[in-house]
Amino acid sequence: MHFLFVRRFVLSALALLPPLLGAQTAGSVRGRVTDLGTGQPIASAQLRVDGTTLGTLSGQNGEYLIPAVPAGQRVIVARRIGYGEIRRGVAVAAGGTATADFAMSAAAVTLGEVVVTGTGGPTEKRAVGTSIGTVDSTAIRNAAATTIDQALQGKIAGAQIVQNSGNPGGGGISVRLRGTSSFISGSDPLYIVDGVIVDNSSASLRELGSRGNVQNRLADLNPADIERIEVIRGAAAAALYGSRANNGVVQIFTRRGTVGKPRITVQSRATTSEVPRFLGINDFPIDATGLPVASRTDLQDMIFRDGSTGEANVSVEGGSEQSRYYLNGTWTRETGVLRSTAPERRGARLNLTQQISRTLDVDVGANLVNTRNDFQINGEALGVLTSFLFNPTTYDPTAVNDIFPFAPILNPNPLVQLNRFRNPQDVNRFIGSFQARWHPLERLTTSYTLGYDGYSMEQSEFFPRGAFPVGTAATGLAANSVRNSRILNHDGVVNYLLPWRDLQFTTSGGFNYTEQRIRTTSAAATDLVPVVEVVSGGAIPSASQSIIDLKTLGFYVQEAAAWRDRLYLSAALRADASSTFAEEERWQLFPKASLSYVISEEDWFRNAVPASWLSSLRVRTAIGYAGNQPSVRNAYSRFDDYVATTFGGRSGVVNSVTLGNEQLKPERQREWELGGDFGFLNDRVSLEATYYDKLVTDLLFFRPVPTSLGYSQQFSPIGSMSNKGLELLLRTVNVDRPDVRWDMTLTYTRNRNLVEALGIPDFQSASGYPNRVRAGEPVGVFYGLYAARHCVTGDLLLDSLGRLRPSNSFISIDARRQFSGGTCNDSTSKVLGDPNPDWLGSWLNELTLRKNLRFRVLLDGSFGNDVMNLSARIRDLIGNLNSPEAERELLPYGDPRKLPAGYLFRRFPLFNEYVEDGSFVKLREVSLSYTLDQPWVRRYLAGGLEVTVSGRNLHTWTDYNGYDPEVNLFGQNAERAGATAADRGFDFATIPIPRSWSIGARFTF
Amino acid sequence: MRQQILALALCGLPFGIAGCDLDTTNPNAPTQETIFTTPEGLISLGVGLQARLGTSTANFIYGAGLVTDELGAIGTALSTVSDAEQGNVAPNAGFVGEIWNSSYRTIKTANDILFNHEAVSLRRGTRSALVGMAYLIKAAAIGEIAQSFKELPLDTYFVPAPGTGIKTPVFVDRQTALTFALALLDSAALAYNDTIPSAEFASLVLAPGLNIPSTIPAYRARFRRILNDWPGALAAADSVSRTVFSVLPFSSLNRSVIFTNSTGSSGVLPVDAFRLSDPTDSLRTRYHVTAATIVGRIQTPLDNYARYGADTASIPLYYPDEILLIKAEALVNLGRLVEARAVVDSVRTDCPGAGRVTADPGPCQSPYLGPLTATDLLTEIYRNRRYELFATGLRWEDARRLQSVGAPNGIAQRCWLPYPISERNANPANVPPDPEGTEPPAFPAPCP
Repeated sequence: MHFLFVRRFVLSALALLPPLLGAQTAGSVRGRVTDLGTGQPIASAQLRVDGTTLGTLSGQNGEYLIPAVPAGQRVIVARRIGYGEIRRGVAVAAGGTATADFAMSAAAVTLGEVVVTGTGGPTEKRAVGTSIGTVDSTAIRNAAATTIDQALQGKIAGAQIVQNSGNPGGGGISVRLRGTSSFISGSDPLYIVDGVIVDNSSASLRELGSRGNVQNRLADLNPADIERIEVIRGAAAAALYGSRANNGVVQIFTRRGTVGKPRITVQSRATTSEVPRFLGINDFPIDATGLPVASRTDLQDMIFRDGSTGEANVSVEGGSEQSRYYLNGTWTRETGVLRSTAPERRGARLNLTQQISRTLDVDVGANLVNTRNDFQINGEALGVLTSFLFNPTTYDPTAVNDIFPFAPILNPNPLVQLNRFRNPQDVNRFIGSFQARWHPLERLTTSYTLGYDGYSMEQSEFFPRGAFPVGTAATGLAANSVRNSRILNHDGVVNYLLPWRDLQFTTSGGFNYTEQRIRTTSAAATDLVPVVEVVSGGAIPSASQSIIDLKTLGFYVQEAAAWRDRLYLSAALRADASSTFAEEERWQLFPKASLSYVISEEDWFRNAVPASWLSSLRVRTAIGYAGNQPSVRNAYSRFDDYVATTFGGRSGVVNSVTLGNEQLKPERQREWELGGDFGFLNDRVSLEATYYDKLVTDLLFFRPVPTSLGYSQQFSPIGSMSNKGLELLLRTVNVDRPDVRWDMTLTYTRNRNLVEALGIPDFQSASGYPNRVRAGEPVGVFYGLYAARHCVTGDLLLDSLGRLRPSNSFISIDARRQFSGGTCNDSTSKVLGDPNPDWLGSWLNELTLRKNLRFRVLLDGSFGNDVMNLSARIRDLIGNLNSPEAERELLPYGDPRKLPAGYLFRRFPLFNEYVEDGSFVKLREVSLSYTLDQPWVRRYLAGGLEVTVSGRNLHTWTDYNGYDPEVNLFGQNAERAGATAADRGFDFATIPIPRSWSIGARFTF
Repeated sequence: MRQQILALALCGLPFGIAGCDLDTTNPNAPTQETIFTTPEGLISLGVGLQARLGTSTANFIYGAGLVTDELGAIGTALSTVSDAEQGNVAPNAGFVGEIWNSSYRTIKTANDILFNHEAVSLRRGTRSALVGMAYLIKAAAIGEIAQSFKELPLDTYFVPAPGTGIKTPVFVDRQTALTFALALLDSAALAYNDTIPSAEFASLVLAPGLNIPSTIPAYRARFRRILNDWPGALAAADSVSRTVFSVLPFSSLNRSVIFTNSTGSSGVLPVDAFRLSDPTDSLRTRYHVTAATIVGRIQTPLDNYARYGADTASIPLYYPDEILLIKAEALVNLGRLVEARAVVDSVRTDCPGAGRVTADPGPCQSPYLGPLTATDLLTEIYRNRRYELFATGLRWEDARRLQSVGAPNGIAQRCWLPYPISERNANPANVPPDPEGTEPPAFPAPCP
């Protein structure tokens, strides 16, 4: 309905336009951008017509075209990360094509880079009072990553990008920009692809054994399509996105075609991956009773394997001045390191740019993807890796006389699970965009975007009969869930430039309307007919359905003033209304203001400071407000609902125990930031430094309601939380000679999170797990029972056998105080650790030799974050004791390494014993590329042949004892009951992130 | 209104008014307004009310079983459950909240009917039966709370409305609560007897197995006994039909919580001491449990349920012979020992599959031959209550009466439960201090 309406509107608008077109005279500008040193083409360089909003990016062959440039003498500016800005004058004749080629030389300063995210229109970075992170296609392409967010790891200051598991298909990835800003909806940023608001949920329509660990839906996008990514991290920069911008915004731009004959690029890559380390096992030949053990089995050998991935991308691009196109087909198939897992992604993209008239051009983008993933349940209560951790090594799951033995502690038999259990997920997704840009006057630009992101997801589950000894699942289970999701957005923007003497004013205004629609239907059945794997084969069926509609409407205005290319001021106001807000709170306002001062433009500065030392200097500051809407899970939290129930064969209703909230409104963030951009040594070294201070108020969560009222909770504001931190981005050009270039990029991120105030008692945010949201502590600290120590001496209080005692070991408080020598054990639970890192850092080195050989190394680290190693804890479970440490209990008396019998069992409830330092440095990316472009190669391959060997997550330096300190049991925390965005750093039967090696080739015809 | 005009104006700005309505409703669930203003809504509440009683009664039975000597737990996952066996109960223990919350949810649903039915046009026979049932079930739920907690709030009906804060209910002592519950039972009888229940009520609301007219006096007898109103208890006991067995039915779609708790992560099952304590009463113990070799988390040997051995097993609202035992106890307390003995004999000589009701337990024993003294008769009555009324939660009140509370030898390990943390967190001003500490008192403990 809506779609049709808008299309009608756009078509009728188009019908009215022609008389207006051609009223002006214009020509176009084209050319090629190359590296001055190597002569190689430079892709993704920004080319702008100075003093206008017209511009484009260079293609993979370095070529560009700017259409519809008003006739006359114009200045074209070329900019690119890692190169110095170049300006070149051209004379544009009406109807003609002017040429401007650029040969760029190395520089680390990027003040001139043009950004569009959160700025109301294309704006040079120098004019923006906030720091904006940008990543280009080269950085994505060389990452050897499966997903885009994986490729971003270690590349953006202020971002904590965590791969939550080594599950197939890139695991699931959390992106936290400047810390955790919300408990609901995963605290992940808003993602926009070519103007389309895209779904990045992490739905698993069937339980996959834990509260997360599936892919986030960004995994549907093909990294090879990416031209450029912009990241804004908080309210100060993102206020124009209103009530959805608390967690920042990531805007992704896909490749547009370049002018010329069709260029075909074929890329293929083969990857092999493996689990970087296995855990040790209890391999002791005798058991606790002193009797010899028949055999001990290491289940890891049976459940893991070497994985492999094949990937192919074929793209064609080209076009004329009027029409350009980019077409890509992609196919990726992986066999996961966990046996029986296998993801696959197939997709195609078509981007078309059509010049309709001198003042009107249209972009159409279409992306069709099928993502399939064969999952295997793994997690806290059920799973293959879970089986290994829960069961003693005396358990051998191999079939005896064709019967797979049940496990002593946790079923099913892992071999039965690997061979018979099925958890396939299948996603068919279409992302389409339509953008029209109309600039009827030289200074007036308008654009309209219609975005559509729709997918259907199907997830099935099958347990065979008899896989469990007892319980409902013992009779088998078949289930099938289907979700249809659709996000439709309309965006309109108007920009008007007004120069007046030394000042230039830019007035912008816009609207946005977004409609999200999610439909989910599930059917399941137990008591299966043997051999039948579908729901209709079950005798006891159940079904459910959910309908969610979310609508958001917003408007904004912005006024920006620039004075002589050095002083920039802007102020803006956004008004947002959402269907999730209560009627009384329907419209919410989000203002912002920013200031940027490029001091190095001042003559007095230039005269006082030599450019060979401090070549450029800018200071900036900004303040802004943004919001966060109740998430999809809480879309209807403002209503008092009744839920269906049955009794005695009759159907009835009872009140939902969650009380509706008639005053529901978004979480609100205030952020201010202060920063400076420095260029040293003739811009060979650049430093971006930013301090930020974020305060989120009206944090949404569940407030307890007196249960005697028949309710238990209400979704409402419960407190406030702050994030304060420092981001540094240092770029250097260490060597810049014709045959050697060496660049370095370092990032440093320090964030301090604090729960400032809570209007409700402390709560365990990860239901059933030892953590807390607690005023005066960072969010999600580990909290629980600990090993008691003497209050004066600090010595562990051991029992007569030398085993640990719990903090609550004496029930009476008087006896406990006497034994402890003080009151330090009065509170039997305390804060045991903090999963939030003290700081994050990354170090990228890029070396180009001659012009053919390129070498990159990226180190990425996290420091001062604790991990709750629940995988280690479960190995201490009585009857399990499968860890190498358990061997020490079995040693003969007198051995100095001997642990007293029952030591590990006594340790089991003491959570402090399982908190470990999770600091790590990962050798995240290594790649070596060689380009063959000798004449004999070019005869067949016009663009040459590039061969790349790359590695990902090759090594981890850490003191952590588990598989991997980076993972998180709760995955992306989104859309799940019993987990919030506060719950980080839990390692519990989570598949480690594989180490992988790839070899790839890129042919260009 | 001004906001709506603003929204409309702004909405109209870009592309007309089409589809720009932000006032969505929740399509997944009916709203309160729909439920309170339609006959279908009230009839549905009637079904929901019985479902909630099913849950709260089961929660009361398993919680009371844990703090008395009846039930024990296997589960290693939930230590609070096995701690409760030893009388160690913290305010955040899951089962404490379950008894409280589910009983108050039952009361909430009863109140939804009682406070809103007048505005809806219902058939006379539907209204009378629905309202009578709501009064009865509300009284039953108050009784469950009053047998677990020393004080409790009564004025708890709260309907959220714009501009009003959340209510924080005030507590009263349990005598007041039980007196109130008795008044509710009078109202239940009055409403129910107004006219003959409609066919609509029988086919759309009333669960098969549940008998309202006999349950009303049965609960009256039970509550009057707790309040030591012996003539009243006697009168009520005499007005209960002797041939009715009123139960809450369960099915695979609506599983009995007693069963799911016996198999789930907590694994709450009968302690085998019940079966082994009196081999002469094996017909009744066999009705309730079957022998097994299960070892509980704190090493207590456990049996399996027989009565509640399936998820479809119904839960009796009262066993018919409970009424006879109340009658006998009332007669003893009124000094009518010979009549009391006759009633006791009537219970003792009931055989399985025979008698007034065939599906209830029967010891099939010979008549009582012990001394005809009040003390001896009461001992015999309480012995019968133990074997007849296993896993009904009623043994907890008996433990308090017999002053057999406290670790390690008491029938019950504690007198009361602490008030749940969920209530205290949200209603700190009104929740009284916990009557006992988290730890069990030493045996014998006088109940505070």
